[in-house]
This record gives sequence, C-alpha cells and structure tokens, in this order.
Amino acid sequence: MKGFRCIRLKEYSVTFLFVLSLVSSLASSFLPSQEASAYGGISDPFATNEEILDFAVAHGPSGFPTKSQLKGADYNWAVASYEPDESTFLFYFGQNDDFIIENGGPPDTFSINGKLCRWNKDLSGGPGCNPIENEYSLTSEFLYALKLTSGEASYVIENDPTLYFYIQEILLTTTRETIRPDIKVEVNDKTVTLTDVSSPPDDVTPYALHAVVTVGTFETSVEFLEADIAEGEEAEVTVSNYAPSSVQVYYTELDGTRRPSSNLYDYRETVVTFEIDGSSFVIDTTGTVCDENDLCTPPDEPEYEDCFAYGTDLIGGFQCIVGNIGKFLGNFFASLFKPDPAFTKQMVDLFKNFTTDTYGLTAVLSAPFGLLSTIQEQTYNCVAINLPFPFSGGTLTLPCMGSTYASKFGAAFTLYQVIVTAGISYYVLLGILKQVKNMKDPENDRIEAHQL
Amino acid sequence: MIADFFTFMFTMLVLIAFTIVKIILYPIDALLSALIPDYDGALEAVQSFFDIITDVIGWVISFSGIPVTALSLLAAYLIFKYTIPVQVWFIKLAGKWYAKLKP
Repeated sequence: MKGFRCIRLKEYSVTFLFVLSLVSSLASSFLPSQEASAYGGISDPFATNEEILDFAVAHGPSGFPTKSQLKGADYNWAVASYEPDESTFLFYFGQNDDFIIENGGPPDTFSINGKLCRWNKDLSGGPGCNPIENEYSLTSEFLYALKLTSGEASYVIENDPTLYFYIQEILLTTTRETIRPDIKVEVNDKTVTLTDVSSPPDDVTPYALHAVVTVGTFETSVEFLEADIAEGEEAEVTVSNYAPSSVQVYYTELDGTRRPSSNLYDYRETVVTFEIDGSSFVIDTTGTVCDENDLCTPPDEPEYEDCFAYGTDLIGGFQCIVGNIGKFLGNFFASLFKPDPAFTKQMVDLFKNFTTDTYGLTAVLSAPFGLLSTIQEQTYNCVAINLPFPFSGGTLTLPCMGSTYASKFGAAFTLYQVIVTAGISYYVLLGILKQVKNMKDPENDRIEAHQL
Repeated sequence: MIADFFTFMFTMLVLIAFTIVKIILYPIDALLSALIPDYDGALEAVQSFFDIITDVIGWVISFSGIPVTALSLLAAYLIFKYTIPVQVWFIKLAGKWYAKLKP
C-alpha cells in the first residue's frame, strides 16, 4: 500500500511539474516583451565630430579641457553616458593621468583619479568614483547597452585616434530610419492597378512613386511596364501575357527623379511577386516584412493568439486561451515524436558497428553484420595475397584479378558480369517478395537470426 | 510523418531492448569470464575470423569477378533480412526477461 501511495505521489508530482512548466511556457508566450521599450531615439544622431566636441565642451564642468586639448594626444579616455531626457549620448574626454572633474559639487560629482571609474547617478555608493572592472570599446552593441541603462551609469571607453569616426559611423547606422513605399496591387485578368497606400513620417516632403511591373522570366520573355503614381493616387497597366510577375516601387521626387536617402531616412524599394494567371486578387504591402533585397512578403502568422486583445469579452478570451493551450500541447507532443535523424541513423547502424565486447554474448549474432556492412558500403580494398611456401621459403602471390579479367576477356567478362548481376538481383527481389508474403502471415514469427 | 513516427518508436524500442539485454547479460558475461577463462578468447576468435574474412574479401570479390554493385545490393538485402528479425527478437527477449524479473 505504501508503494502504491508512493507511486501516486510520484504521479501527482510529475503532473504538478508538467502543469507548472505548461503554465510558465504559456505565460512566456503570451506576455509582451519588456525589452523593446527601453530603446529610444537620439536628438541629433548626425552630429559631426566637431559638434560632439563642442557639446562636450559646452556641457562639461568647469575646468573641462578645451577643444584643442581634447584633440591632443594627452586625452586618451572618454566617459560616455546616455541621457534619456535629452535622448543624447554624452562623451566626456579626459586624460589618463590623475585628475578630478567637478560638476557643480555633490551629488553631481564624479572623479577619475588615475583609475577607471563608473559614476552612478543615484550615487547609492556615495559620491565619487566607483572602480569598474571592465574596459569597453565603442561598438554598436556598447551603445545599445548604454541606452538600456537609461542614464543610470556612465562608462569609461578608450579614446583611440579613430574614436570620432566610430561615433559618426555608429550613430548613422543605428539611427537612420528605413522607409519603404506601400502599394496595393489589384490584378484583374491582365489589368494591374497600383494604388499608393504609403504612410511615411510626417516630416517626409511630398513625394511620388515610380513602379516597374516585370512580367515573365528571363528564360522565356520579359515584359517591363512602368508607371508614375502620384501621392495617394493610382495608376493602371495592362500586361500582354500570363506569367510570373513582380512589382518594384520606389520613392521619387515630384519631378520624377529617384529620391536619395537622407541623414534621417534610408529610402528603400518595395518588391512583391505574384502570378498573373487570369484570376483576380489583391496584394497590399502594408505590414509586410522585407528582406535585404527589398522583397516583401506577408509576415508569419503569430503562433499563439493574443488573448489580451479580447479585453472584457471573457468568453472570447477563454476560447482564445483554450485554443492556445491546444496549440501548445500539439506542438509539445509533435516535438516529442519528431525523430532525430542522427539518432535514427545511429540506431540503424547499430548492428554494423558491433564488436565482440559491445554486448558480450550477443556479439556472436552480430559479428556477421560487420562483414556484410563492409561489403554493402564497399569499404574494402583488394590487396594481393602473399602465401609463404613451407620449407622452400618461396612466396605465392595472388594478385587482384579485376583488371586482368577486363583486359583478357573483354566483352565476355562484361557479359559474365551482366548475367551474375541479373542472377543476384533476381534472388534479392525474390527474397523481398518472400519477406512481404511472410509479413501477411501474423502467425509466422520465425526468427531468421537463428539460422546465422 | 506517420512513417517517421513508427521508425522513431521502433528505434526507441530497440534501444531500450538492447539496454535491457546488455544489463542482464553483463553479470552473466562477467560470470562466464571468471569461470571460463577462455570465454573472452572464444569471442575474440569469432571476431578475428570475421576480421580475416574482411581483410581478404576484397581479393575474393576481385577473383570472382562479381560486380561490386551487385554484391552491395546482396549485402544490403541480407542486412535488411536479418537485422529486422533480430531486432524484433531482442525486443521480445527483453520483454520476457523484464516480465520475469519485475517485482
């Protein structure tokens, strides 16, 4: 009885752990990510090196080095921080020697005193310098990490001679916004209607779109049709063939010239592909996901439905949760039963790799399979056999005969090989047929292994 | 998908069966090794025999003139013919032993 209780207890424990893991997995699936909101913008991401230096000098404390001093070789360290209120990176440049930077006195005081320091704004460790353990290089990852601190800390970075160029480059690559035109493509037989449905940021100046419709493939024939689309308007083209097609759209100025990327915006193309086959359909690129080649495809459907979207609709929310649990369980069990190809191969090869000490007595059964495996995989080599004669000291050498047969017997040898191959193949096929016939007889449990 | 599932289940069964057979045979093998000193030697002799055959099989095939593709087909068929029953037999054997030994 105790054993029974113990087993029941184990079952309850396993069930509890399973439910716990299920709930935690579902929670992690449904709860929104907390990371994304920590990223912010930068007020002047394209500040030149000179402007950065001007800013550093202007915002530096009294006694802060002058610009000319900052450019000197003596100042080989910089203190970087991110100000979320101003959305600005701050770089304070300094010497590697002992010095103290005063910034209006406590609590806004931090010191660099011959050692690398971290300055915490909350000054939980008291005013002054807190030694840091690591040095940091100015990389894009570092800047993102800096932004994540949201002004909580400053870091000392190495101020190498190329630092200013790094700043410029990184700020450009991390802050310029990519925008693409959005278009609605309505295909009705051979008529393609293109409508501008773009919604660029408000500060984007008036624009137009240029569309290139490509019909056909380069293997056959290609038809190019072009159209200019005014902002919010539509244009229509008529193709002459049914074929795989694509539409390429990009921003232009009002005079029709292609709009180049600016400091604030990287103007990219939008490309969609479809098949013109006489049917009618509509494609809207709004919300699509575009790759590095600007090919835009609809985003993947989220695996789980957002149940918070139902709000006060409790019944709908409950149905949503039940549906998500069903999907989770389906995925869970599917993952359990998904075979691992490497594991399957290992199991299939189990017999081929037997050795005498693998399974003790069972090796007697498995030993022939190593030989069969060698023959099947053709991993053997023909080596001439040397047989020493007893007493006389001579050696009988038996060379490999394949090339000799081929050269001496020619077509006859080929005919022999064809006949032998046919005979073996016939035997194998007959054997397989016999095996299949035996499978139909459920009472037949004869073990051929015993014949080995 | 269904074929993958059954393949996976079968290989799992074989793995479990082999493990059980190995565990049960281990003390028997150890006992035989202790009581019959030449037991290990006998097993080695079987393996050595097949090793010799493996060494000369290339020459034998060359001498017979049988195409290697035909022999490969024949070997694949024999492996298929004998491994499946042996695997099933191992599963049955493991099942029977487990039924006898379970508390």
